[in-house]
This record gives sequence, C-alpha cells and structure tokens, in this order.
Amino acid sequence: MTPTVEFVELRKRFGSTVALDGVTARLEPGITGLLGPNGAGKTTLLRILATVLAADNGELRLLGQRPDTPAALRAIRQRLGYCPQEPGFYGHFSAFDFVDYIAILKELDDRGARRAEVRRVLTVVGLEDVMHKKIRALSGGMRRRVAIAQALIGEPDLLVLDEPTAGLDPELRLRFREVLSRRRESQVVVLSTHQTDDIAAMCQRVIVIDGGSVRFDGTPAELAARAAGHVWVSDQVDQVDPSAKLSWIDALGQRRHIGTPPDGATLVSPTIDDAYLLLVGRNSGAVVGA
Amino acid sequence: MKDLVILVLLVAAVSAFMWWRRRRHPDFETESRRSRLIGAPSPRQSVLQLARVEAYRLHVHPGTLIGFALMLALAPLAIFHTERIDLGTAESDQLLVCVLFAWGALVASACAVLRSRRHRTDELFATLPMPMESRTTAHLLATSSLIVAGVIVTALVFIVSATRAFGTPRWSIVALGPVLIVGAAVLGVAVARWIPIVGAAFAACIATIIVQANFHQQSPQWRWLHFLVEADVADHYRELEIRHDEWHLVFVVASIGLPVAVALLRSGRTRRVAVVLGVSTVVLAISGFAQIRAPGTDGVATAATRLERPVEVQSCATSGVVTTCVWPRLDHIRPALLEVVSNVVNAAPPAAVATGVTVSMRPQIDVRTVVDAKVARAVDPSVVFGRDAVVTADYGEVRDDDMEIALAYRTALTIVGLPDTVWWAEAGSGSAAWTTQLLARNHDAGRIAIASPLTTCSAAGEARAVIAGWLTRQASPATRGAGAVARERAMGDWVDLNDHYENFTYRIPDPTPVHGTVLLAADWLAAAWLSDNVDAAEVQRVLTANWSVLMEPATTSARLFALGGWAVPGEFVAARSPSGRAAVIAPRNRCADVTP
Repeated sequence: MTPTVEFVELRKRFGSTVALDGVTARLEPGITGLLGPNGAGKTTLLRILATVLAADNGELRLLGQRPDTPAALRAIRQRLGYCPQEPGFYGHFSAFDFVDYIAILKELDDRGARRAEVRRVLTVVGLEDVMHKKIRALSGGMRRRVAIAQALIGEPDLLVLDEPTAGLDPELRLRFREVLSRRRESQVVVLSTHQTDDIAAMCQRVIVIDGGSVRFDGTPAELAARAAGHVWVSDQVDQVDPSAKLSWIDALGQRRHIGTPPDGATLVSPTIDDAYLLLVGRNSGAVVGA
Repeated sequence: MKDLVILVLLVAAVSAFMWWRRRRHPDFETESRRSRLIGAPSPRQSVLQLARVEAYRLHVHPGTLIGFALMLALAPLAIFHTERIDLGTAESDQLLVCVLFAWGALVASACAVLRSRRHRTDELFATLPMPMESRTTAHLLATSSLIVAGVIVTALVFIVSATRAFGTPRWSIVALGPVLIVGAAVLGVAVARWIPIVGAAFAACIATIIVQANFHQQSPQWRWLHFLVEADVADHYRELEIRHDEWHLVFVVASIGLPVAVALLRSGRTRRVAVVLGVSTVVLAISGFAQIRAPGTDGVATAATRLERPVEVQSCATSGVVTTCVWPRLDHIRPALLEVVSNVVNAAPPAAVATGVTVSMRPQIDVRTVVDAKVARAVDPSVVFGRDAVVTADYGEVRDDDMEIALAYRTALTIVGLPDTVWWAEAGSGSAAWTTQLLARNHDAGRIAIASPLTTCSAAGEARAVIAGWLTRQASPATRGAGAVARERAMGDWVDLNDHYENFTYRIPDPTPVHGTVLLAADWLAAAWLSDNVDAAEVQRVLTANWSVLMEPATTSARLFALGGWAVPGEFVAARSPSGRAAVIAPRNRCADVTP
C-alpha cells in the first residue's frame, strides 16, 4: 500500500498567535520541501505530522490512519522517523548507544537486528568511524548526522525532517541528498529548510508557507517559473531600480532585481530563491546588499 | 509527628505548584495528554529491552557510584564503632550503612527519569512508539535490578562485620538491605515523574530521614512502621520483645508498591495502576496492623514470663560456685561472662560466696520503653526489677571494657549485699508510673528524671562500698580502671558506674540508671588506692578475717583501713557529702535503710 499523508484545513493556534490557518495538502511518496520565513508555521506543521502536536481543527491522515486512537498512534509512530529542529542528545552516550536507545523506543525488539540497523544508519550518515565516541565529543555537524541517523532507523515510511541540513558542510549535504533520494519512491519525506538549493536538488514538490497559510504548492520548477519575467539585472550596481520589490548585488557583480521590471530591462532566468523572495518578501522595495 | 505533618504539607504545596506550572507551561507529555496523543503501551519485550539498558545506566550512574563510595567510606564507622558486634541483635545498625547506597540509587533513578528532560529529547521521544507510561515501567523494572547490587552490598557489609562479630543475623532483617535500596530507587522514579527537578530527589532523601525519625520516636508498636526498626534499645532485648520482623519485611516490600503506583499514575489512571495501588495498600494495611496490633494472651504471657522469671527460659550452667544463665541464642557469651564473674568471686572471701552466685541476663530499666503496653500492664515491675541476690548481666557482648566493669561491679555489689541494679519499689502491676509515665523529661537541653518508684541507694562511706570497688577492680585488666571517672569529680560526688557514656560525662542526667548502688568518688578513690598499694592477697586475708564485721552497714571505710592497718589518704575516708553538683538520680536512701 502506498504511504500517503493527507491534511485538510489544518488549523493551530498558540494563544492569540495563529500558527496554521487552514493548511491543506496530500503528500505522496517522494520528497516534499517546506519553505517559509521564520515563524511561518513550518515547524508547527511538521510537529503535527510527527504527532507531537494535535491540530485544533482539520482532518489529518498519516500513512492511511487518523492519529486519534492510542493504537493508531502507535502504529503510525512505528513507521515514522522524525528529526526535530533542535534535537537533544544524551552527551554521555556514544553515538551508537544513543541511536540504539532510540531504536529501542522504536520497539525494535530483536537485539541483533536492532544493533545491525543502528550500525547501518550510522554508516549511511558517515559516522561509522566515530560511532563509539561520546556524543559530547562530536562536532555540531556530526551531532546533526546522529539526529538524521536516528530518524532513518527502520526505514520509516514517513520521514519528517525539520531543517536537517543546518550545520552540515557541503559534502555532507550532498551525501544527505543522496541518502534521501534513494528512498524517494517508497517514502513520504517532508523536510523544512531554508536552503533553497536543497529544495531544487532533492524535492519533487515544494510547499511555501507564510503566515500559517500555503502560498505555493507545486514542483520546484513551477515555483521558479512563478518568477519568470520578474527578475532582471543591471550593470549599475549603485542604482536601485525603484520598481523592484527586492534588489541585491549578485556574485557576478551585477545588481539583481525582483519585482515588476521596467521596459527594456534585461530579464534573466529566475531561480527558486527569486520566486520564494517574490512570494514571501515582506518589505517591498527592500534593498539587500545595496 | 510535627515534622511528618510539615513534610506532608510541603509535598502537597510542591505538588500544587507543579500542577499550576504544568498548566501554564505544559511540557511535551502534558501537551500530548491534553491533545490525546498518547500511544498504546509498548509490548512487554520492548519494555524489557529498555529496562535492560536503563538498568545498566542506573548501575553506572554517578549517584549510585557516589552512594557506594560513601557507603564504603562510612562503613567502618558502623562496623568498627564497637569492639564486638552482636549480629543477632544489631543487624539493623549494620544495615544503616546500606542507606547511603540507597540514597545514591534514589538520586540516580530520578536522574535517569529526568534525562530526556534535561537533554531536551522529549520532543523526539514524543514521536516514538514507546509512550511515557511504558518508559516509566522500564525505569521501574530497571530499579529492580538493584536487588542484585543490594544483595552484594548487604553481603559485603555483613561479611566485613563478621570479622568482628558474633551471633547469627536474622534473615528477615538482612533482607531489608536490598529491599530498601530498590525501594529508594523506586521512590526516585516516582518523585521525578511528578516533580521533574533533580533537587526533589535530594529532598526525598531528607524526607526518608524525617519519616524514619518520626516513627522512631513513637511508641513501641508504632516504631515498627518506619523503614529500619532501630537496634539501639529494642533489639537489645530481642528475647523480651514481641517482634514482627517477617511482617515488617512484608510491610516494607508492600510500601514500595505505593511509589510504583504513584509513578505510573502520572501517565494516567489505568487498571494496572489501580491494581498496584490497591494490592500494595491492602498488604500495607494488613502488615502494618499485624505489627502494631496488641499481642494476644499467649504472647503477653510469654513476654511476661521472660520479663519476670527469665531464668526459667534461659540456659543455665554451673561452674564452681557460679551459675550463669543466658539466653540460648547468646550461649557463646557464657565463657566471657563466667570469666569476669569468677574473677570477682575468687577475689572475695570463700565465706562470702559459699552459697554460690547466680548470674542471669536480665533487662535494665530502659526495657520499659520497648515492651508492649499490654505486656507492661501484665507484669509487676517490682518483680522484674526486684531486690534479689541474682547478678544482672547485660545482654550484649561482655568483651567490652565498659561492659566488663559493669558486670564486675554488679557482681561485687551482690557479694557485699548491696543492690546491683536499680529496683522498682512499688509492688503490683499496672501502675501508671510504670505503664505510662516517662522516666525523664526534656528541660533546658537536658533530661531531668521524673520522680518514680525507681529506686537506687547510696553506700557512701561504708566499708562495703570500698570493698565493692576493690572487688570490681580484681576481675580483669579492663576493670583495673573501674571508678577512674571518680578522679574527675569532686570528692563528694555520686559516681554511678553506669555503662552508658552519658553517665561518665556526668553532664546529661540519665533517666535510666542501671546500678542500684552508687558510690562516692571518694569511695572509688579509696578502692583504687587499696588495689594499687596493697597486695591483693593481703586485702583478701583482712576481708576473710573480718567479713561479717565489714558487711555491717555501720562499718565505715575508715574502719576497713584501720583493720588492715593501711595508711590511706585521709580525704578518702573522712566524713563526706556530695558537693551539690547535679547527680544522675541522687540516691534518696542509704543502702543500709533499704536493704532487706
């Protein structure tokens, strides 16, 4: 049975703050990226998908089940992998022991098989040489890999990753992409990130959330296409085009503008960054790197 | 009891604060419960897997290791505080050392429960199949693994103790060691589940002291409700006490059920919690009642016989003119007992001991604080503490300097016809003074004796007094120092040669005097002078020749020295009176007036 995640009109409030305001989507196997500014509601949505939080309203089906009974919750969690935004670690445990501990909490009862699985996931994230080191002796990037490794235990059908690549060096990010892309056919992977190049490189689908609402839902190419005709460059680096919503000097030394281009402007191919900024850029006319 | 009430109020206040705090700032667990996101319990196999890991972590936790180290460091204090340990009566004293390990285990188990909170893994754990209830169960199961460590630790304590001990410890008391260690660890889990701060675990350690101390101060029955029934007074009189060791073990084991239920209750009211709570409460109530209930008719009769006529149930043996009667359990003490008594008897003129001397292990007046109220009403204290010619031997080890002196002194007093122990002058059973009245009260940081039929007398200035002192000093090398405390006193002060340290300090009035006859410091000094300056055979010759005269109460110590022709320093035999400093219980009577 194909794993799916479906949510309809999800709403969540924290006091007077609206975190989610009617979010709807259906996620099929593959990698879905969540983009959005800080406080947009990404983490709240991921926590709901990870069964940490319950929505105030709306329909939610995770892997074909509603998480509203103890038995269903347990069944869902057995097929769920979650990497929180700020994962905690038992610093006095070795990486192996910590991931093994999580594996126990994931109810992998066969000791031999469990330890083999722990070794596997630690190898997948490239920690095979340091797996017996205490976590407190590991670097920040290595710890992040431990967090990813624990989420991969048991090859879960639903993988929820909250900013998993934060703190990883470029090589490890590539490796991470490779790890995720292997399971894209059979797993529902939802990740939130501020790295748009990760989205472009890995995700078949991207959802942009802002203010608790879905602002875009489509492929990365479609997102980029949203900005087609709205991105232009000029050689006059000191001069900001007044019709631009956002403007900055790019790596080529040209001033890049997003907004409504003036006549005769030199249009360029938009990136996901451009489209994202165009979509959620709050300060119209803001100038970045002027 | 006031401390206990304060403790309960404090726990209630902290619980209320934590409840309020959780409402305002819900943690992941509280949020999950509110949102009905609690998954079904994990299968037993998964819980056991986690329990296994937690058990290992519990054993290597710094709290446990520090508790063990403290235990090792302080064990010598418990084990080597006395020359010999009677493991047949003082097992609880040895077990006190295990409490240090238990406290370490309490803190360690609390830290284990709080680990996810301290390291901020609660969010991640909330997404895992094993719910908090199953994790708590695993923590509780992990604490049971401490039973092995507890057995090893307890065995270690008793093995080391055995190097300087005698007697056979009771299994039901020894078993309390591991049980208390596991119980403390379980308490740590319960505390951490409800008050998720490490400091609460330390507070729980203090709370155990308060509970222990409060029940300890209660009546003989109620003291059974604390964890470790103290050995100091009660266990001393093992044969005279109606004990409930097996019930007490059941009681302590059942009391572990309460924190188990309390820990699980944090994850919600389930049938399992109700069963644990119900069973432990019922067993606790039954075993508690069994311990505090009044003894039956047979129990009272047995206890009364042992109190009033101990010789009937003791093992007696005669050697020469000395008959020693000991409790069967303490038969191994007989040789040491006999040695001390025989040496005193041998130093006395043969005529003085022609009818033989009987020694029997009998209680001191402090037994009144441990006998059951029903038993206390059934016995006649004037029989229990009657005036007779039997030498009272202590229960404990004789091979202890103070005990040897006390036994030799009592033997010597008996030989010279003076009361060897304090006696109860009022005949008849059930008097209020005996059954309800305390023998002392606290006043100005001291203990003041309350007037009672408890009687002692003074042989000040009598030849008998000096002879008793001299005979005492003949028993063994240890008794050569008998009366040494007299040197620190004014000439006129009463010296009660008690075997309790407080009496030697002479600062704390003792409500439970042991010896029936008190001498003046001058009498002791005269006896010391005699034994130091005159050959023992010469003294014995003079005593033999003048025994009947010397035994007259009217014969003064000056007369004794005159008969021997000994030039004793004048201040030892001059007319004297107490200096006025507070005496223990100042003798109200001259022995001459009360001796039958």
